[in-house]
Amino acid sequence: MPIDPDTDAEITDEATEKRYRELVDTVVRQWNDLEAAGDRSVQLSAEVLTGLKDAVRADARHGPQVEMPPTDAGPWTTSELALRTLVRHAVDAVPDALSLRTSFDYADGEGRTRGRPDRITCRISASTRTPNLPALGEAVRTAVATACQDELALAAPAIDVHIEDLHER
Amino acid sequence: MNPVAAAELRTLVLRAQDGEVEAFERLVDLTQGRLFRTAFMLLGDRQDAEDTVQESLLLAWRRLHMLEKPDAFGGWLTRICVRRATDLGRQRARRATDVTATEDLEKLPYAAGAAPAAYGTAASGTTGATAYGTSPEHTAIVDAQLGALTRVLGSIDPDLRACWVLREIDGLTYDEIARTLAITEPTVRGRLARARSLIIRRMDEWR
Amino acid sequence: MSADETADQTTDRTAAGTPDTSAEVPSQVPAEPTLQPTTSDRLVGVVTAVPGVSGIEPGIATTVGAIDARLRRSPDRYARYGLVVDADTGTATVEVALDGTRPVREVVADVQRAVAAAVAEVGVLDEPLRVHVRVQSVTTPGITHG
Repeated sequence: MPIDPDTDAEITDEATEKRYRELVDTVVRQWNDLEAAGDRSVQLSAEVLTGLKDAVRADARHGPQVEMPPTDAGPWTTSELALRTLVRHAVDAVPDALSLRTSFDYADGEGRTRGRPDRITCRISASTRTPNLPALGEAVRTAVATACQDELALAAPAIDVHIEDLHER
Repeated sequence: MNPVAAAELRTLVLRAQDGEVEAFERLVDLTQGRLFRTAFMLLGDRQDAEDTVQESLLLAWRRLHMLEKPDAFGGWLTRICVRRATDLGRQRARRATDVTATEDLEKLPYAAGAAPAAYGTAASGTTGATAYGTSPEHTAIVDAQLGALTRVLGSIDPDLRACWVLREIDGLTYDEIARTLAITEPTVRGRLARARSLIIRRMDEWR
Repeated sequence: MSADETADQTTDRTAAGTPDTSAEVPSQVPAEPTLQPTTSDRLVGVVTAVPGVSGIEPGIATTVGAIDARLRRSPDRYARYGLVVDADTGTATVEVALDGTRPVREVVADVQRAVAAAVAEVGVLDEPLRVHVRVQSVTTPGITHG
């Protein structure tokens, strides 16, 4: 039986090849159609999807605890996860900005607790209609600094903003 | 994938890595259908496919911080899912070799040596029902061609089946298949060729 | 609402937001005040009643503390997941999830004051309790204040 050099497969007669191709294409097309129509038989069931999402929520990676300026009623710390959430909200609230990922540099802390953040690096996406990217960066910097002060009483960590992507809004 | 969809995916991956659960939930919504199709074709059983996809996505969430390139998320997730499905398939094959009664063999989907008719029985949990089942929550789809194809898939070696599913159902390139299965490209070509030949021959036999 | 009024509610709300049944409220302060579980369950209610708190969210610190207290059975040390009070050292640790409706630091301060006041009621301590709050998570998409 001759071999197809592209696929290393035996070259069957044209009719058989055609039937095979039609079968595969039909199966894929029917499955795609069902999926596009939202048919549940070709997806995870609603119960499995819900269970999965619940497990994801329960498995949040808090990261280390980070020292914060004490309140007048006592000391406190916050998880790195909570810090990232606060920064993400502040960035997302700036028109034309979308937070991607945030990282922190910390002062030395005690034990496993990190010291206060002394640098925050914000990786963001800018809307394609942003008229002035440097001004957007500055607006993000101000928003994050304000959130640090208002939410945490954390004064003036250095804030770096990297615009690394563009998005359609 | 079109550039807009790729950009959205990248954004979601980064935000999920940042800890945003909602972003990961969106990734689940975008990928679960494709993963389910792959797992189902590899395993021939709905429940096993659901378990595989659920475990794969949970593992992806736990390991997401280790993914260095967000653009590689799709292939990375496929690898996790295919490996879990392959492991599960091998576990079942080992159990099948311990089974001596013919009727028990027929109950195991894609078990080594199982009769092709076993696929339909095991997938639905009821004798004679189709792969999609007839329980109220599912649309009652009777698809003769899908049923025939999955019966044939169930009768071929799992390694050949994996290459075939990734190529013909998922549309991966030879290089992508090689990386997913951690084999060489020539091995992919060889397995694909054998899978196609077997499938063509057995489709003819069962027509 | 004051800490006294909220203490009487004795509701127990986990970070998942599922209310639990309320515990009995003792009618008198015991002759020798100790941090009994029934009294100390009030503290969870005190914390979750603070506006801005969505629930207790246990982390490693209080889990270790909870295990240790059960083993030691100390009357002046109360621990459960998410909340550890140690009268010996005059400290408490509370691990919470916040809902983002108020500035984080204001919620934290209110939790600290509420827990310290509730423990002071029991009369176990000579000095005010030092309350360390650990914020585990902040939820909700837009933060709104006021």
